[in-house]
Amino acid sequence: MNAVAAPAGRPLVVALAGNPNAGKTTLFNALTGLRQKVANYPGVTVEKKSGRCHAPGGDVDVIDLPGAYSLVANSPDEAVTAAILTGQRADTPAPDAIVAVVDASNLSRNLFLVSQLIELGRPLVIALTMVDVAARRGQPIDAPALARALGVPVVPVTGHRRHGVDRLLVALHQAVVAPTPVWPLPEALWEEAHELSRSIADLPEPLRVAAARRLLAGESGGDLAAVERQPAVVAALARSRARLHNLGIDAMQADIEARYRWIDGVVGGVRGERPVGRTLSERVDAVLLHPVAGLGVFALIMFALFMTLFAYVGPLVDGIDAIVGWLQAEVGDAMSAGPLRDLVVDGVIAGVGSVIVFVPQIALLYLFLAALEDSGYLARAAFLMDRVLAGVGLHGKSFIPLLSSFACAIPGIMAARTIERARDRLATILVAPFMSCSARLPVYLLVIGAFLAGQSAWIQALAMLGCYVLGILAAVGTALAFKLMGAKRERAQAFVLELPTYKAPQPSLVARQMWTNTAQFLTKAGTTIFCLSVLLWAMAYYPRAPQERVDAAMARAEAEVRASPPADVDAAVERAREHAAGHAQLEHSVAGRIGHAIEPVIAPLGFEWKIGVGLIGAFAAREVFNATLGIIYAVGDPGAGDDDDEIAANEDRLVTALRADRRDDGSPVWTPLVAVSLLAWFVLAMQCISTTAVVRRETGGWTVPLIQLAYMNALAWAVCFAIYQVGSRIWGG
Amino acid sequence: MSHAVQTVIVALIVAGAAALLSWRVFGLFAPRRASGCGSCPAKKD
Repeated sequence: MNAVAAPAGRPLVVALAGNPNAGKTTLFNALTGLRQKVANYPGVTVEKKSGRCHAPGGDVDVIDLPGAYSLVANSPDEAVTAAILTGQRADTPAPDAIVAVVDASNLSRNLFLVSQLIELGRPLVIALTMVDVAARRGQPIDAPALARALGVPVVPVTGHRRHGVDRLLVALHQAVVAPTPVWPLPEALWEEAHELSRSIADLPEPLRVAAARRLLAGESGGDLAAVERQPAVVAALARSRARLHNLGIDAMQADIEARYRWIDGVVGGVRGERPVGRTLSERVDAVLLHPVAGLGVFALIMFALFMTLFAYVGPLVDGIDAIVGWLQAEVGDAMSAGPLRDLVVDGVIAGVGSVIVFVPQIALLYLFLAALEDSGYLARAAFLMDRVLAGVGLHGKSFIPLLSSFACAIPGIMAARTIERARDRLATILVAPFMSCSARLPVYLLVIGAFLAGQSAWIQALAMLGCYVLGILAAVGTALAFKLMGAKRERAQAFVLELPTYKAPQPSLVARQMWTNTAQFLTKAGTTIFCLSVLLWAMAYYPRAPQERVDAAMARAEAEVRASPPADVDAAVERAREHAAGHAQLEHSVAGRIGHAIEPVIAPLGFEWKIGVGLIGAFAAREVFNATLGIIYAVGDPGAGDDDDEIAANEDRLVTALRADRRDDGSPVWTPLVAVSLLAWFVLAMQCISTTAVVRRETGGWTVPLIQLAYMNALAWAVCFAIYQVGSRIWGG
Repeated sequence: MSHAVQTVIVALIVAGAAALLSWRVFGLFAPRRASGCGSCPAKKD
């Protein structure tokens, strides 16, 4: 039992391993000072992450691994953990020591993984988390006694407060190889393990029996990969299993039972027991996990969240819009007329501005979600959804990927790696983009704000909730269809989800989460949206229309005004000529021609060609739709919104322009029915190139992303067609 | 600033934006080392 030696010339490599939601990432952040995403539910880390920290005994490279209940990998993220711990990953050095992060409030289950880590024969330290929670439950853990029982250092830590972190850093250099306990296995199993060990030649003598026992228990891959492929081992393993089968012994079951008997012995010696009443978590869960009341509370929470977005953040949005408008006016005055000024004012400021005006609402949404997540509520929502998801053929574990998809489908699709069965994973990946991601949010806010502005906040919130519900219904329908199409019926896998303890959201963590997500949104607005705005402006600006065509359009507009002159005829003529010039220019541009080219396809959905240009732009990123409309209405109608009296209170300039826009026959381009159809399009259509690229990566080919692209867009077209055609017959468009 | 100079600057900005976007898009589609594992489909990268 020698303490771990710092290798010459490189830092000590330490891996953090533990059950999901044991607090590994919180500890990782405390050790390294990094800011990896932490959440109060399992399955957040699906890839390994690494960082360096300075310990008293020298630098340490810390690897944060995905949570695992066992080293017998069930899911891809567990396989990552097993591969790294056993030194099977070419891109990651085998760890010099392992820090087992053990949740003291779930000690027995956490020690199961520890029992497997001990067998790896690497120096080990136990970081004991949630000690306070265990004590509150009347089950305090005696850390020194646990250290004596396991034969390795045990350090109680509270990652987010950094309690115990310094002691852990010291302990890293004192990590020792734990003595392997003698598991109380059936005698016949030990005999077979010894028999099988005689066929194993590749391993050193002391490790052969343990390897044989693990093979009998069903372990494979990792450090056993080379051994299990040897023909002699394959044959001997089959013979041993057959003999055990004849004796009525299930080796895997016997192995698990033996470990738990050992664990019971350890836990009995280190855990105190004093009676406590029902905990607060249990009392709250009686309501929040109720099949009916729980779903009701969930719907109410989401509704309240959306209502807040419309009721209280509106003035902030208007304030930002006013700043954008002021900037346009100032820059426009400062620069001399020409294409550069038009690019800056109508392209960059109008384009990027129409996206960033929604930053307050998006930040607030992130704030709420971070608080719900950190409080432990979101894991309860997953539990509630399990029944619903199972009914449509999705695994309960799909909830976390689907929940992540409400922020962005990309991390959601990556989080599907926690799902063991390939078919369940594929179903989740297929339906994840139906969840309303934050990129859709600016579009929803613009369209709902434009057409329900006169309504109360709760109606706007209901419309918003409707968008989210439509996406969920589409996902449920698709999953159901996928389930019904499956030729092979497979037994449903049990969903094991640890419900974290409720806690007051930690303000610093919630604020950091909100800032990280909002900063990502702003970064995207400043890079991708900026570049796309420049290109879309160029497409809406060039080629320039011949002067005679512009003159003819202006003359026609003037004649129409003079045919039925309003009170202030000169101002009306001036306004109509300006509008006609912009319109003629826009129709002559690349964007105008593309819009007209696709109009036959989108007209049955109620969309005019300018909306079509926006839809094409949205394929790069959904929020570009706002930028495109901002640019089109700025280029096509440069005077719109300049007059103060045009801007009603609480109404932004783009909304004013949308409402004023008319088709050639004089009817409004944007009606409430068009707005509903457009919202349905954005809920259902697959428009995000990045998501398609990630689906390709995660499924290893183009088949799934292309089917997904075709299916979602066909569904969106069909639903919008039905909405507009039926709606226009009932309400007349 | 003359109209011609403005047009040249605009052309440069538009070309820059197009180049940056192409780089981002092709960067996204380019094969990259996946962090997959034995059973992870991402390993096919």
